[in-house]
Amino acid sequence: MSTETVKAAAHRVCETTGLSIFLKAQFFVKINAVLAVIFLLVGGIAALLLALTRWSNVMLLNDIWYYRMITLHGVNMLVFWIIFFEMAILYFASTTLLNTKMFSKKLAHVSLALMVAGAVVTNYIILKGQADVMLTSYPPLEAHPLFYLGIILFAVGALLVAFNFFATLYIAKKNKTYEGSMPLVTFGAATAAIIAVVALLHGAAALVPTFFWSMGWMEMMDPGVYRLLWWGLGHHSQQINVAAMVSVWYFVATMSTGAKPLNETVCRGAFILYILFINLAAAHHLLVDPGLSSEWKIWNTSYAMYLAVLASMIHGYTVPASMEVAMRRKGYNKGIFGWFAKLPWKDPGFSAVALSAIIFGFIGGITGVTLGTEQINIMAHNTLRIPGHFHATVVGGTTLAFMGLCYYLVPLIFQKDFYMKKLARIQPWLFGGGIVLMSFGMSFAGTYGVPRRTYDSDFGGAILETGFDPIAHIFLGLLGVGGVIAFVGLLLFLVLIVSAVFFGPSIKGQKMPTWQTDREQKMTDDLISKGYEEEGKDYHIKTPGTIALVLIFLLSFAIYYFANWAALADLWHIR
Amino acid sequence: MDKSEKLALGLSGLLLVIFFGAIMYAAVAKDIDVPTCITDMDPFTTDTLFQTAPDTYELQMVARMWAFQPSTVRLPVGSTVDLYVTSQDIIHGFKIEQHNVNLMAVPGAINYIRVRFERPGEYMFACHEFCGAAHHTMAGRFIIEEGLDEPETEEEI
Repeated sequence: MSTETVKAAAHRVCETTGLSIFLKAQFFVKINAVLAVIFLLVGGIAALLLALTRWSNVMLLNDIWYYRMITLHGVNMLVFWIIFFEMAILYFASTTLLNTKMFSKKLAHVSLALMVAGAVVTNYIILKGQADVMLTSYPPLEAHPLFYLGIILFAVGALLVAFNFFATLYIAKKNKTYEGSMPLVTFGAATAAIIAVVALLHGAAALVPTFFWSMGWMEMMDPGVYRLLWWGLGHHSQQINVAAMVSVWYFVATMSTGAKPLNETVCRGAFILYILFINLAAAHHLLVDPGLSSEWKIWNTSYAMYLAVLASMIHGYTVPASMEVAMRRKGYNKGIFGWFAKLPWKDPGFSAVALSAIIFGFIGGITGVTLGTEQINIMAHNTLRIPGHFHATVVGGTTLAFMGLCYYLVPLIFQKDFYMKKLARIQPWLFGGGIVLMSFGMSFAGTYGVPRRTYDSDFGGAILETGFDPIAHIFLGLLGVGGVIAFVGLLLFLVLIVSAVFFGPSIKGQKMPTWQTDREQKMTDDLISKGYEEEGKDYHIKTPGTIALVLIFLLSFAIYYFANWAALADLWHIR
Repeated sequence: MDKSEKLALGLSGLLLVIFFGAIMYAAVAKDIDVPTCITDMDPFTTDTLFQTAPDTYELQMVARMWAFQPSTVRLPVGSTVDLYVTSQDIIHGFKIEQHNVNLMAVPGAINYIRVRFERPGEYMFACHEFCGAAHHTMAGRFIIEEGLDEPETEEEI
């Protein structure tokens, strides 16, 4: 490890990984992670209230507060929690993994101030009741100007962090602080940062004129055009999340099992597919909009979306396959799935990431492609099936993966150990399990036609006394129960993290305490040190278990997809 | 590239090609298509229902905060409806239960789909895009009856 280029006082050497941790960057990793978790709590409280309201036998909130809480929940979860956390990942991936100091501390302070100001202002105006417009804020529905301004400030701050990230990559390259190609995790983070720039520019194009309109300085943007531009923000940010999540998968897979990707070129190619194709796929939000031709819709949402989907399927194979190879190299060769049972399930960082990959693929991915299919979308658009899908991707997938990363972040960056390790071991299962139940509840209620973002699923206030099939209410109940369980899991996560970070025993100068047995940890360590020596070589170890998992996945995918076509054919009476 | 990696990628790619084939087959051979851009009609501000051919009607529907005009539509069994939807104020959604109708109602633009009612019964339609405080009261219904001579519409005041 070369330390010539940096001053000794500017960094410390990690006792566990041997990597250099740069103290200035470490501060920004910490502060962004802490802020992320604070907004996770705000969004989580809103989530609990929402789950207890859509649970139609409980209906906790009144209508005004229900809509206010959806706005609060969406903004805090999809914007503040997840982007603050991604900023922490960018600072970490560009400095520690590349063995370089960050480009500019001043810039990092400015961007942090902008993001905090933006987040506080937006939350304030929502809670004050002057921005009940949902995260999407479609005009002519109008919020207080501070709502748009807050999000714009936050976005500018995030753009500056991305700039700082790219500048850091540049000086690392220039100073040759690392050998060979950029590490895969940093490559994935760079993918996320590139998509973030594209997303935030779309966001600026939608929200800056809308802010001017709310100030009375400009005519309103055409509502259809706003939807087109806004989804350039709304969908791309999900792809930031996916790229960041997949980078976390690779990172935690290596840390917990010693896995190395089978073929890094393929993994990198998959990340590039995300950048190239996802910008077109945002069109699947507009499949039943007027003003766009059906040819435009089909073109943008089929071939382009599928190449991005293929990228996720590539990662969905290489991550478990690399683990299988690692486990087989440790000698767990029994049968097809012997290695799977012996994975380090006692490590909450690992189990969170494993559950993240399973929930993201089997629920989020399969429903996403199906609901995004042009004609099938007609059954599902704006029903509860849509949140049923994206809670499996962005919560069961991204948020759970980020929670998993926190089980490594706390000992490695904060240098603190956890209390209540038994509870930590069940936390990912509790949170993931709750999200799965909630997602099922949403999806099935949506199948009966219940719309999303609607206070009263029975439209009881309508002059016409109509409603949905009573069975839908059973699934709304499942939604509520799942939401409560997930909230308990989230609260447990917060208690574990806060107690460790602020009150936990210091482990400065020590290796990270292992979640596995010492023997297993030693095998993992050996593999990691060997893995670096053998980088670039094929291991020539077969992965029958992962191939079996892939076959199960593809079969589930095909069944779900064609079942939806069959359901659509039943509805389509015009031939 | 590893053999099993090639296999996994090949199968994944193949499945996606099959999916793409399904979309094209449905669109081209079965005429199951997504709503398209309507350019030959000016935005309307009041609702209308009229007959264009035997068993075929044109319905122009207006969405506003917080009701659809018309809110009740009575039609004979077997009616085919050319449905046009627009919004008078902000963005709304429009979905008819158990039918192939799910449209965004965007001010300044007209959305269109064709639907046939083959079975008698009452079919609810509801707004599915958040449109303000009373969004969850914005609903209506199609009533499909046997032996109905004249189609009718009713309005909420």
